[in-house]
Amino acid sequence: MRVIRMIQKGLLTALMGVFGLLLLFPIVITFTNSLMTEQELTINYGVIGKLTEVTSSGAETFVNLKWLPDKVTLEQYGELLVYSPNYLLLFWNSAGLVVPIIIGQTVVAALAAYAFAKLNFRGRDSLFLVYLLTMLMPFQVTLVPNYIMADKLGLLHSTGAVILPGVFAAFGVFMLRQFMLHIPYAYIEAAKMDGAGHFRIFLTIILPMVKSGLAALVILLFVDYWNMVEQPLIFINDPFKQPLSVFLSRLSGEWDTVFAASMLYMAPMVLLFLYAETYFIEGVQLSGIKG
Amino acid sequence: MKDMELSKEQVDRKRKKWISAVLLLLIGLLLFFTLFSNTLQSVTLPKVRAEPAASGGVTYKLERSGVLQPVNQADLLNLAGWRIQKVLVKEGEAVKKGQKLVLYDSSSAERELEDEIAQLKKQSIALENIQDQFKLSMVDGDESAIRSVRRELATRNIDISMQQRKIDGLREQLNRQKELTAPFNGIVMKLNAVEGLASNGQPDIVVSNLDLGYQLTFVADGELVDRFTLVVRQPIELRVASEEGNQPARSLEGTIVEITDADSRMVDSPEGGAGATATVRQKQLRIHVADADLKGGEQVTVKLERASSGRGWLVPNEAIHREGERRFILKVEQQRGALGNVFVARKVLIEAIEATEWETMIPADRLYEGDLIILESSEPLQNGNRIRLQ
Amino acid sequence: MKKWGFLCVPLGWARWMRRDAAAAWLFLAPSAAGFAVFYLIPFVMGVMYSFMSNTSGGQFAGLANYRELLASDSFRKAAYNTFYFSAVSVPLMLALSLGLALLLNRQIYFRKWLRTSYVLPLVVPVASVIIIWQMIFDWNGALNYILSWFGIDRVDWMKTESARNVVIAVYLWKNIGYNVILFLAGLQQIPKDYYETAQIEGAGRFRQFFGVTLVYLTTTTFFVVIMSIINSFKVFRETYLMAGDYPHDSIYMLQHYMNNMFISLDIQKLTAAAALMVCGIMVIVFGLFGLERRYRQFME
Repeated sequence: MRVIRMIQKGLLTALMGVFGLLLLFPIVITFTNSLMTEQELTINYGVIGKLTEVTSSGAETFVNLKWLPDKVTLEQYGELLVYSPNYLLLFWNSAGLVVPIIIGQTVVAALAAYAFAKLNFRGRDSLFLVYLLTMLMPFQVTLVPNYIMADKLGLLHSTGAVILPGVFAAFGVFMLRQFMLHIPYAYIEAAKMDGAGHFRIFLTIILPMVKSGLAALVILLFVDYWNMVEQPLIFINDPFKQPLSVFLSRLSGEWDTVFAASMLYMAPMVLLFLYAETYFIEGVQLSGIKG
Repeated sequence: MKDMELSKEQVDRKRKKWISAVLLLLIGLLLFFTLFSNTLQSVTLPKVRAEPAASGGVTYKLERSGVLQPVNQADLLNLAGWRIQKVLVKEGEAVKKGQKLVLYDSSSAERELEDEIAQLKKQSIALENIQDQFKLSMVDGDESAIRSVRRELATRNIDISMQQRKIDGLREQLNRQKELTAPFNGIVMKLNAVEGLASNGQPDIVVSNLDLGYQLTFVADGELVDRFTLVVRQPIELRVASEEGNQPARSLEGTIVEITDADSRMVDSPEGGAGATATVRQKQLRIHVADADLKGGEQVTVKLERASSGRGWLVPNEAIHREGERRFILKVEQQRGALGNVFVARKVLIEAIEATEWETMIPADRLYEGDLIILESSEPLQNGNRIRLQ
Repeated sequence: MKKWGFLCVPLGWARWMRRDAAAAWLFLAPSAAGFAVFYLIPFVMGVMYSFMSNTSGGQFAGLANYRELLASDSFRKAAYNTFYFSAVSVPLMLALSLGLALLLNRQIYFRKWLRTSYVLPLVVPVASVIIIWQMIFDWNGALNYILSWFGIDRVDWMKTESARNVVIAVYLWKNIGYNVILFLAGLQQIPKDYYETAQIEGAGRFRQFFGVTLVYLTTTTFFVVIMSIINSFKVFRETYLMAGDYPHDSIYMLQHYMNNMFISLDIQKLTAAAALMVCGIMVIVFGLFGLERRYRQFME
């Protein structure tokens, strides 16, 4: 009986493992291909975007997806880091957009979330509903007014046009509120008895208790904004101020760098995710379920 | 169970430590390359100096200078080796035909002449004696005596005429040699004569012939001569450099009178690398100038310029490389990448249409407007090498 | 268990809180100001523009913009595609992620690693893997290669109707992990004794699944549906990066339409389309909320 169970478990694991590998496939292949030489990649992938040719032996040309490099080399990385300084420039552009958004949104959202979660005021729930609804809207919905607004504020074609809407986005408020709702009122009441003001309560009680929520928010925001394409595409017209995300898609076909560029771009995200995986998952789950 | 939890937590912490280390390393690496990629590039990429190719035609230039030499000049000297009595002219002086130039001390010759005249007189007197004898023998009628005297008389007459000619010769020599006169209108080019000394074997005076004009001789590359289509009897402009420099250079018109082959010249071939030489065909040109104001010895310059008929790209000769029989230049190719431009050395095969000593014209279809030609690089370049512009 | 609590007012503290109104607005001020400037006002402006004949100094044009918009083929196509995509991909997503979550919730080795591998696509930047999608779905791509083993003709994945399937695949790849962890959380919240009770009552596995699991997952499911719809709008990014401004007709979404209207400066059509889309989303969301509330009442 136990053996059967184990076999069952093993089979199930294998099935899930295959599925997991399927999901990991693009990441793994990006990594292994980033260690190949340009020559190897050109030979294997050169046919992309071309018409089919029939070789002399009668076989049709296909992309030859390769798992393992013939010769492991860091050529692509060298090419990218040493000879394409623009890549690094764009990388830091991405960082320069994401970091202020994360810091700004976390601070602004934590304050607002406290008000929404633990303070009572007239119109609170309708206001929160409005916040929630904007969260659901695609970016394109407010494209024009946003553009006009950015223009009026003199933000157009500067990183501010991307950063500020990011700072005031509703997502952080929503998520931190979910975390704060779980804090029993007893703590706040006790602090109140001791004569603490709201700000002190916020700093000394609420914030320490939603630490994991903050961590989750940071990661979720990082995921979201590191990925951002549409906003910078429209609001920043200087190609050297744009983040990597906009740029990377134009690299296809430049086999000397494309995989290394993809790899370096996803590396900080993947590492950060692995570092704080538990927070991330907790954050996602909490925002969706409890409350 | 609790132990397991604990160890799990430890494992988790260890993993986190690792990941954060990798993350920091990554950020550090990116920062490092951000700061030092330029430096690394400069270390690894060959540095080149490049210039845009000029569009246009080649301008050929022929520039030669020389000293004008008289076409004809006379070396005058005293063959008798007489002492010079007086020099009447100075170097550079213009002289007329027949003008006296140098006077010689002729006293010894005059003395000789007088001796000879005296000799003649003696012979005349002796002749008279013979004539008297002849008359006497005619009276005597001695046939044999008459014949002998008559022969004697004829001999004496011959001697006298010989003597007379000798005297005439001496007299004429004296007249001629006691002075040097200008054989034609000309200029005293050289004066070796020193008063009081006999001539030392060199001509005492050199006089140029003004009527025949001057000439300039120089050597030029045969190809260039052909390029300018220079032929005999063709007029050519010369410029006389002014002596003080404050007067404008005067221009003269000369005529090519002779083109002859000259010795080839050896040059270092710039394309063949060190030590390689090439021979260049050369021609000698003689140009005749007639101008009243010239004195001879002027520094004159021939300056010819001609633009080639075709147009193309002008490439400095130093940019041209040779590979076997083929010649090529390296141009800078800008490869537009999504991550910025990359500069690459690209080989362009050329055939020279026309060339001068410093530049070569290549066909217009070989390059585009604004293409940069690599003149020198810090390392030997191959086709497709990545480079860094200076 | 409180569900959807973020929409409910926690009771019993009204008195204490009333004094806090001023403090609340202070806490709220930075967020509210920024939110108003960058979201609320633009949104209201957008709705206003959709009724005007011209963005600057235009006149009230009533529903003219909307009439024009609805008459436009490309808008209808875009709206249909968006709707179709969500209608196909969201149920598919639900089924797949629920299945995976159920399997992952069972006795299994390496559970944590597997979960990680499911979630990882979510954090991989879109731009990083675009090249991989191109390699797979190109005319000469890997997928056609695999099909050729089975003697199936090539499909031009990005330039025929099949582009829909590509977008669905990409959408599933990216978002499945997110929904799996949501479902996992939901599953873990179901008390074990419910199943025990069901077992005692003689319910089979099948009944247990429908009677206990699904019932108690309803709330989660609603949330998953909403998130899936929202995420299905975000798939625009992938299609945009893969196929550009004008992809094949079958994957020409509302976002493409709006983006192109923006580029061609057709502000009226854009704002009208945006307003319609907002209405659509609101109808769906409120509809789901209503459904959920009714369902809960029914359950109780």
